[in-house]
Amino acid sequence: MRLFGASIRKIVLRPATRISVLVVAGIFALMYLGVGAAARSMTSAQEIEGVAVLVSFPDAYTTLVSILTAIASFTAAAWAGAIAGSEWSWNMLRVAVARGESRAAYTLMTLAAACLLLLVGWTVLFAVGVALAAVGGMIGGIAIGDPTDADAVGRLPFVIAAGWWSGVLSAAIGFGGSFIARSQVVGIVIVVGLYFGEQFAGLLLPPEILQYAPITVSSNLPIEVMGSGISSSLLGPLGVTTAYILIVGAVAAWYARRAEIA
Amino acid sequence: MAAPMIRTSGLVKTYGSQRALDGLDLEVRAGVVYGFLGPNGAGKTTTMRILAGLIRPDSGTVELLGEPFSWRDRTRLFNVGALIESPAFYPYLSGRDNLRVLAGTGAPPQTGRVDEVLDFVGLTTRAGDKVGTYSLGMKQRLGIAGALLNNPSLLLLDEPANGLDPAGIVSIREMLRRLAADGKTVFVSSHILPEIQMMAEEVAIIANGRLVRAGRLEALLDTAGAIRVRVGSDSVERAMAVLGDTFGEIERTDHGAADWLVVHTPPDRTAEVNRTLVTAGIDVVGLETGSDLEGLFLSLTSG
Repeated sequence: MRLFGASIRKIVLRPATRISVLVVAGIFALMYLGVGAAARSMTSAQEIEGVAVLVSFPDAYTTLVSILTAIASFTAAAWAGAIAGSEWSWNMLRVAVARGESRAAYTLMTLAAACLLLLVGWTVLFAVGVALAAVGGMIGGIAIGDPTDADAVGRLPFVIAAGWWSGVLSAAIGFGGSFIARSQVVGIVIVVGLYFGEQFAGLLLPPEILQYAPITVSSNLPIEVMGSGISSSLLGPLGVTTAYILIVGAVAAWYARRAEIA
Repeated sequence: MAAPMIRTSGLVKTYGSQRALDGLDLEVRAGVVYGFLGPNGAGKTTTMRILAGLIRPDSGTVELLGEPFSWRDRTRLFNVGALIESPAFYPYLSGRDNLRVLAGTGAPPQTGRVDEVLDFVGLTTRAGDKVGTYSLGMKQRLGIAGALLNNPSLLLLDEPANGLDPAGIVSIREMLRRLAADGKTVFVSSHILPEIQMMAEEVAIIANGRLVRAGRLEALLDTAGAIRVRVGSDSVERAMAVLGDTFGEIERTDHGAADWLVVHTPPDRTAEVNRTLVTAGIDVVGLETGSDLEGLFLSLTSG
């Protein structure tokens, strides 16, 4: 717990943590407020209907989850990659190891702390997105529907959990890639590469295989929960996502145990 | 006799085709400030890294705190404080927060230890400031504070005075002396020879990854003594001959604006050198004595 607490402290106070949240919130603000403003001049019902998907609840929840999952995944990968890379560039792993800390424990606790803070960030950003969607609807003069829809609200905790778990995989890949490459940018490059690689692979591979590719399987998780709720069909994607996370963590820990620290 | 705090035997480490350590043997007894000298690339930092469990040697053995040590024996490091190369900290955290984060790793330090070590290194008033705003000297002192968190009996300090101004160097020197007075063993590498000469009791000089000389500094300096003599320009050749008969080979150097003769002999023979010249009817214009660690260092590590 002492090591975990120290890991939380070093990450939560890091400017990149606040900046990452602010960047995503800023993107949401631009998007929802921009859409609201644009909607004021819309006259066709078809255009307004298109905007309503973004700002009218409970459908807006589903749209928000999709957008947040995509944006937050990249942000989480970049943020976690920066955390991992800086352990090398700032030589903090060296200091911890020279103090007798377990290399694997240090690496895994840093990743675990990042994952926990990601849950906080995901929840905050979801709330910010909901608020901005409502404000965007009001600016555009579009009915915001029923944000308290019992069915949708009842699913929200599971959606947030699924979205977080999806972000954890991106963060873990970003973390693992940057840690092993000893670079702050490699993690995000890997995640972006996977994202576009899987899009491209969609042209070549059948869906029944592609659905288990890391970015695809993890990003579908919260969307499926939002759409269909909790069901046994989620076990497969959840298990695969979890397996990917564990594998990335294990590889990073294995590398830490063997690495020569210059 | 107590077991040595550090003992290495036949330590070899290669990076690609470059052999950083080539069978290094070292022995550091407890309770001393031990100077670890060598030119750049001699293998000092590689040795420090092996002792701190950061890298593993290709062959050879290490004993730390009297027991065999490999990089898997991490708990042995709970009683070792290390500052390897430059001090490392999170620049966005305060000095105190950095130490708190460090305290979360390795063995748990005693309650209140963070403030104690901050006070020891004289950083209490700046402890709340971000490390990114610290001068190099302050970072070095914070690095020493980090190394002291667990009140270790052995300190590994790699070039702790590197890049510091004279006041910073004096401050670090005073700190290390206080630590040695507390009974800690301080293994300190440096290329600032006068610094080592002022604080170390024992030294090891390495070159090309091998130990070339080790022992008590006093004894080494006795063998490294040098007396510089200046005589009239018309007497230089004769003075070299006269001194050479008694003291062996005499070196002629351009020491400042004039020719000086260097007699490699302990400083306690200064009067004898003077008397030899005067007896031979040669006027001594200038005379300097001193222990020449630099000369010894250069003679042992060159080539």
